[in-house]
Amino acid sequence: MKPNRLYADTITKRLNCPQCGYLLPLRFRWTKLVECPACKSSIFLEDEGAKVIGKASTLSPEPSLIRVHDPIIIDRTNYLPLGKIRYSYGRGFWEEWFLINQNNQEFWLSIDEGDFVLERPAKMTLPFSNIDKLTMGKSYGEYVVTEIGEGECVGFEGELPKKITINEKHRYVHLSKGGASLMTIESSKEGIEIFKGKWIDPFEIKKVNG
Amino acid sequence: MSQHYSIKCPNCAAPLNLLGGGRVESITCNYCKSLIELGKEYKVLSTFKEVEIPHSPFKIGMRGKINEIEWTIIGWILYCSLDELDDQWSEFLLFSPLYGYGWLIYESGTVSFSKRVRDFNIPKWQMRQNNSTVFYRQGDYLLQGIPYRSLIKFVQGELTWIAKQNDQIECWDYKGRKNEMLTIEKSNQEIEVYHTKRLDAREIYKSFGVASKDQVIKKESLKEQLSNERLEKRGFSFYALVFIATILLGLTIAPFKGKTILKQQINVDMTLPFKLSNEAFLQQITLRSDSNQHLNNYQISLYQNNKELLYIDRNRATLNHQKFDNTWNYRAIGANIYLKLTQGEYQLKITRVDKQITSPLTIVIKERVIKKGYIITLFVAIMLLLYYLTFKSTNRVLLATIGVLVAIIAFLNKEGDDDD
Repeated sequence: MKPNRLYADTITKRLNCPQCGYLLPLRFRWTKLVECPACKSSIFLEDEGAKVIGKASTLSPEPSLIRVHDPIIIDRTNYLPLGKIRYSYGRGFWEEWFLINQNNQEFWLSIDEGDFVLERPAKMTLPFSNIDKLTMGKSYGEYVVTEIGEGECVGFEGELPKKITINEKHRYVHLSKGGASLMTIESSKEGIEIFKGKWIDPFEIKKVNG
Repeated sequence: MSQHYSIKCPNCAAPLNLLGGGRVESITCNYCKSLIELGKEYKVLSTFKEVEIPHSPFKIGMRGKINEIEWTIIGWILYCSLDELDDQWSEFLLFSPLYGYGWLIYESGTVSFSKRVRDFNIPKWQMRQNNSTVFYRQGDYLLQGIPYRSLIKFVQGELTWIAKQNDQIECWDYKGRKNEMLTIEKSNQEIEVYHTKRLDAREIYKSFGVASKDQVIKKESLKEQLSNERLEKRGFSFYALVFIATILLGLTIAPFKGKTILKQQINVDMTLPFKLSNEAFLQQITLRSDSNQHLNNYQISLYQNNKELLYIDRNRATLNHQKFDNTWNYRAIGANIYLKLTQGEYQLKITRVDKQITSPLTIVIKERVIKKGYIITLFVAIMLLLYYLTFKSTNRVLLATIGVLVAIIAFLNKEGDDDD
């Protein structure tokens, strides 16, 4: 697929796969992890270069509204999906899509059985380091805990701005303040991350290329 | 998202296909009617065996398109109203790998599609549960009747929760435009909001492959048709309100700005004759100077047939030789004087206290004038009344607050008019 001109400026790195020499399709300046499309190696990008950290776990193809490098429009804003992480919760799974907008900002679109949430990393400090302290239904300021869940990372595709570990447990807490607004606190070995965003109506997601 | 797989019913060993994605938590066996929890142990929780299965055009496993999206029917719940047990309807759980879960609702020949919405402000609704109108995504929805309780009579197939016989849900139905509805459902666990839209039953039957003999089409009664027409027309209410507001604003501002019958700039003592041909509303004499000192240097008298009607300067004002409280403020550079005069000829006499000062004074006389404060108050009052009549539901505290604010604005405007 041709690179989308809208996002052409975001390509700042030209690196070849250290395993097979294939030119890696990097679109985001701060990418940390990328899957080589040719040899399926997982490549970790460091300041000086790239190193293979193993073979990527191939994800089973599943129907999805989103595809890597196929731009979408949500609320009149264009987003380019660059990669995804899949988490399993037993009988099913959900996916976290890494997107960038035209200002090269990082977004995450969570898709779970028709429920779509678009979020951005939030710069906040929590007064605790363990999300188990949060209780379902309890209010924290203007937010109420509406969901607590756990999944296991089963694989990724494309490029990601963070390192992930396959088979690692990933816990999350959803907090709502009414309406579409949502805050998610995620906990993994790498630490705690906070995201803020809103629920998206899947019927309102449009493809840029039809 | 999930892979499809099958299990054996732990009660009767019948093969059960699971079609409905990773969130499915229970399945009711089509053969022995056992309700099975899809946890690690596949426990039988209860049975729907004694329930008579009603006839329905839709069956589990049917596939069809709704608004170009393909859905599979994976579950079926038969509900009835707790108040009227004969009033029953079917809700079929739909699954799409791309769009998740939705509901196909069937009731006596009418078919609707319903999907859970996440962006409705539930805490706000909880605070104003008695309001007959709710707003969602730029639309307004009117409460239909009173909240009711629905009861689960029968379940078949897969569900995303464990639904048992006689489980109850409290429901609020709000009707919107274009056959749309917003339903708020309150169970013991949580509050969920669903957006529902009525569909063309014939199209859905065709898409889901319902046999002709099973197709039931409801004919709308005249009352229902009229009710729907009324709701469709209600769709214009907001735009009608904006339209009426614009017209009213134009009507209130345009003619009541008054007609100028005299406009003159003077810098010497002078008598200006003028004629009033229309005595409707008020007459306005406007004085404008370039500084407060210069305005304070002028004395104004109004005569009709050589009889003084009005006298005003910085220190005092009299009307028909009767003193009244206020004149213009010491710091003002202009003043508006409102009078109620009859038709006829008048003379406005302007004299200077200090004859050395020759700075100009602009005088404008208008007839048919309404004070700004009255116009704004009237306009806002009409708008509030229209809003109330349109939506029939307004927070009384908000209404009172706006009323008080309008009164304050009108009062300040009055002060401004007097002191200007």
